[in-house]
Amino acid sequence: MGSMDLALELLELIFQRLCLDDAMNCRATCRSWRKAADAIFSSQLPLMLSLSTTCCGSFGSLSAPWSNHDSTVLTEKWPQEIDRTYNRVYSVQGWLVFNIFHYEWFKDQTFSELSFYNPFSRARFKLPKLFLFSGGPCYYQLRVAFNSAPLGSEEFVVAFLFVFSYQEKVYNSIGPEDTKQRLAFIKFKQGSCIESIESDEIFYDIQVHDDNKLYGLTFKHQSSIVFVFTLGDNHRDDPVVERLVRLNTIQDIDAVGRFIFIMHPSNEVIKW
Amino acid sequence: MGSPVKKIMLCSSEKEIFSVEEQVMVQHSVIINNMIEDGSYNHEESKIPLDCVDSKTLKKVIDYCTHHTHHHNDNQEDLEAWDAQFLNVDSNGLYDLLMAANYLEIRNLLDLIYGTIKNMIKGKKIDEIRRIFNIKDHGFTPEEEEQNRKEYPHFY
Repeated sequence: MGSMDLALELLELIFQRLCLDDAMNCRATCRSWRKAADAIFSSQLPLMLSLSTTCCGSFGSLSAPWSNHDSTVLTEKWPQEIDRTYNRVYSVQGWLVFNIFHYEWFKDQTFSELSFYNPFSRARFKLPKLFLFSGGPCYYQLRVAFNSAPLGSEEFVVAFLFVFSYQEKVYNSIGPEDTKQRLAFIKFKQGSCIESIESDEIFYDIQVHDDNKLYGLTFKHQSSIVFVFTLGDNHRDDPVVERLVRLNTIQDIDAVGRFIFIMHPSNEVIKW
Repeated sequence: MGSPVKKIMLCSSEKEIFSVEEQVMVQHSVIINNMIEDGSYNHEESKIPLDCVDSKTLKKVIDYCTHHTHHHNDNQEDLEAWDAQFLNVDSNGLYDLLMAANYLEIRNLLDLIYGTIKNMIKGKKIDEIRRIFNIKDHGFTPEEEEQNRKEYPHFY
């Protein structure tokens, strides 16, 4: 019997006990080991990224604070366009997400481009440019959610939410009347975008939870409302968003301020 | 005169029958413990078929369970030395033991094997790991292998 015959779950149990350096070796050892190592390490472990911009490009170094060696494990050249003022780096479910804004001055339009990079599996891909709005933003927020951690899978749904405002206001006094937003669902298949839906609802926060549903928190007529989107199955050609359910409302809420989800471990949605 | 030691029959993939003290297997194997408890094993005529465990591996598994039943009061050092000697097998033998321990749900043997494999991987370079685990066909395309060498140059 050869190593190839070792069941994936047994390999995963072995790799769970390894430190990052050893697990990275195992990734390059053979294909079945790679699959097991990625399943364990791609989405679970916290990694720390530090970025620096020099005259010859942007560099980042990644370290694993929990590793036995506590050392930098890789240094990678990041997209040239990353700059501190206009662009942001996020960490979502083990992926690093770079958001790059493109302001096309001759059209007076702003576009967004999201790049995804998995520091462990080295997988990377880019979403197609998405039109956001006319003009340049004064203030914006971005939230990204996956319908499931794409562990090397070729197909998945990305939902992302942009909140932006034209008004030069202080952060806390931006109300719904000043903001516009866009919630887009994009289904990926073999690296290319095949579907994108936009929503007219104003959402304050979105989250994808373990039940593979997208929760959108919104606010209307002094009530907060939670919308639940059932996301299509990754592995079938279902529509991205299957249905829209109004879950519950809370009355008499002040419109000014932030609304965010707190996900309780027991899968309950609590909002404030 | 004490009652005779209760025995159970285990049957390997080669249909070889092994007679083992019941207490030894019940103590270590979750699966066999369940079979005895729920009465699905009949002492008069049953034998437990282990179709995915060959005779050589089954003999080792029985050795392990027997030793750990009768020597559990030994000092820790002696037991560890015995375990080290027990697991002094090639990587194929280790895989067979792992599969058998997993199938029979022998938890302390599983932990022992996982720890051993972890130590075999620890700090090794990729080519060494392939040699130790006898991985001849890594399944990567030449381009992917090239990419690996580029991405992990200090690991080769």
